[in-house]
Amino acid sequence: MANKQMTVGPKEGAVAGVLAMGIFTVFIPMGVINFNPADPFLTLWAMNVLVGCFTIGSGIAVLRAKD
Amino acid sequence: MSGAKAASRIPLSYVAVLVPVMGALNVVGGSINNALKLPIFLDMIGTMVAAVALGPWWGALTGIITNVAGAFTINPTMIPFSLCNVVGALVWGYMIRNNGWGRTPGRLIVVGIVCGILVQMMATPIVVFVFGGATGHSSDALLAAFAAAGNSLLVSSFASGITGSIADKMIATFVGLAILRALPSGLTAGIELPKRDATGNLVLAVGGVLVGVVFILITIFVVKPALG
Repeated sequence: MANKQMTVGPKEGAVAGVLAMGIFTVFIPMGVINFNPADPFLTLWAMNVLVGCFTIGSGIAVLRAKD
Repeated sequence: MSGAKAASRIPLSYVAVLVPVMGALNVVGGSINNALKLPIFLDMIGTMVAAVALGPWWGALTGIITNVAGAFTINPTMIPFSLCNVVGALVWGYMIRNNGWGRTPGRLIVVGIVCGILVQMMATPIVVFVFGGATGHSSDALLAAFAAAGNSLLVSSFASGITGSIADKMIATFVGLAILRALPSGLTAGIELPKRDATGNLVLAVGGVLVGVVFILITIFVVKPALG
C-alpha cells in the first residue's frame, strides 16, 4: 500500500498565523501583570489592538491563499 | 520581479520538525545574547529559516513560540516583542520566499536593512508605551543619551535601536541563509537563494556577521560619542 504523505499549503500556513496570534493573546495577560503592575489595563488594551491588527492580516492571508 | 516558484505544498513532517527546532534555536540565541549583554538580540535566526523554508506565517508562529517560551526562561518582557518577531517573519517570508529577494547577497543585504527598519518601527511603540523607555536591554544607555540630547522618547527609542536592529537582522539573514543551504535541498526547492557553489556557507555566514558587526561598531564608536 502506498504511504501517502500529509502536506500543508499556503492556506494552512496562514492559519498558523491565526493560531500564533491566539497563543499570543492567551499569554499576554500573564506577561502584562509581570512587567506593568501599575497600569495593566492600558498595556493590555494596547497589545490587544496590535494583535488584532495582525489577526486581521492573517485572516486576509487566509482569504488570499490559493493551494 | 519573478513570482513565487517555491513548492506550494510542503510535507507536514517538515513543519512539525522545523517550527519547534527553530523556536529552540531562537531561545538559545536570545539566552546567549542576554548573558553577554550584547547590543543586538540573536533571537530571530530560527524565525528567518522557518519563514523562508516554510512560509511567512509559519515563521510568525515560530516567532510567537520563541518569545512566549523566552518569557518563561529568559525575561517576561519578551512577550510583547513577539510582534517584532512576527514582523520579521513576514518580511523575510514575503520578500525572500514569495518575491525572489534572496537571489544575490546584495539583495539579501537590502532585505536585512528593510527587516531591521520595520522591526524597529514595531519595537519603538512597545518600548515607549509598554515599558516607558526602559526594557533592561543594553540599548537603554543609548536611548538615555538620545533623550538627554533633547529628542522625544519615541525618536530616541527608534534612533537608539535602529543600528542594533539592522545589525541583528543582517546577522539573522546571513546565518539563517547558511542554515537554509545546509538543509536538504528539497526543503528549499524553488526558493531563489544565492547559488550553492558561488560562496561557501561559512563565508556567507561570516560575511553577514561582519556586516552586522560594522553596524554595531558604528553605534558604539560613532553615534554614542557624537551624542556626548
